[in-house]
Amino acid sequence: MKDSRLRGIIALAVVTIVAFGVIYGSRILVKDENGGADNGGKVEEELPGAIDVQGAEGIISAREITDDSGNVTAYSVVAKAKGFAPPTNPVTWEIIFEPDAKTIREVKIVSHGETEGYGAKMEEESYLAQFKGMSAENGSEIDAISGATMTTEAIRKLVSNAYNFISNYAANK
Amino acid sequence: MKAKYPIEAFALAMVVFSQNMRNALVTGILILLIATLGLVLDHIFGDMIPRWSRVSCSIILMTAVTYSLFQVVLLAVLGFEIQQSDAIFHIFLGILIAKHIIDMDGERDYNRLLLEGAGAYAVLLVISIIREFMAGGAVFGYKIAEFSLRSGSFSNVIMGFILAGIGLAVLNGIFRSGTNTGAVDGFLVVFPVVLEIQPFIIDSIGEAASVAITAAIALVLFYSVKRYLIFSKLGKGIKNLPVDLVSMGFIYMILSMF
Repeated sequence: MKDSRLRGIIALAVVTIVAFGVIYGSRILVKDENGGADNGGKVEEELPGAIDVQGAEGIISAREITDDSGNVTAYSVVAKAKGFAPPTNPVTWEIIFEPDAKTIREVKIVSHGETEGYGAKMEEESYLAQFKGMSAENGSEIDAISGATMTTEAIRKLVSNAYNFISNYAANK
Repeated sequence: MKAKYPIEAFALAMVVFSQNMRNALVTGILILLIATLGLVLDHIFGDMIPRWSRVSCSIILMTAVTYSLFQVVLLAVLGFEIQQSDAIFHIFLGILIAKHIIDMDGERDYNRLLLEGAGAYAVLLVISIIREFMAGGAVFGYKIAEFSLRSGSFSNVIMGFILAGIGLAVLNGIFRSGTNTGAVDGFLVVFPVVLEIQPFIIDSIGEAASVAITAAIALVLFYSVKRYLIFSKLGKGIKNLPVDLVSMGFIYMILSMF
């Protein structure tokens, strides 16, 4: 009995050491990749009117678009959410909001890895047209893409995240 | 022969956490670590408390440890994003590990746990490499090839079920732990998946009602397949295949058309 318990403790020690090794190895590999991403982040921050997005869920960058006299004419938010494709290739959109930080003026697809004929239907003009003038408060009313449930959910989520972020920012400015 | 590793927890990981190698690498080793920790704690303290208390303690402790450890490792150490659905799956993983510990009452074999657990971990990694490579031409998030045959379908839960079924069949064959439909309790694997990843959504009704209806349809179809399989005479060649899990992949495929 005692011997069996000792064997259990040894097994636990072995698995713990292996787990530390695996997690440490993963961390090194991920760190390398993030190092490259950091440079990209700096470029975003240098854009005029950049807004700090640290800690905001699913928000890559955001900025105020101003006219010559410095008045805010729109807000731009780049947001992402996992769709049908692997998490390394999320659905990423740039959403331009009117100065009320609620009404969507325009959406632009930055990148996605969705399947042709299904999720990739998001690129169609007829689908994107629905967003013009839409109130982002009603994100759940975004039309579903037939046969692409996960892509639809990703779009609803990223629009909702972008709205929550920018409306909160505008309210507390 | 009963599997000595947490087979349902690994099966769930093969379905939902094998989309890419990063998640699979961390998920597999953490399942093995938590299962070993749970078995050792149960071995040392299990006899000191009554049976009912031991069962509830195992479930609460394993669920709490699993959830916390995944949060610490993924968020704090690796800096990954954890989606809400993933966090819920981590809770289910904890419950499945607790079930394994309770089932192993008096049959603890640490050598077999490490051997079979290492085998399950290897299969989980192979599945993740196949899915990530075929979906995006990448491994561990690094793009290594660009080819026309790749398809986003490999990252779908449909492929998760099918590859998990094949992976478990290989493990059952090697460790001879399988019986008719495999040693895995398919319902415990399928239930969290249908709750979190619905094959289709119904826009015209509320979200909660849509989830309830979709999950119910998927579970009824799964149950009907499982009942029918009781009367099926399976050939020797596919005796180790958990047919119910593979069938769930096809059920998802059919329901996704709506």
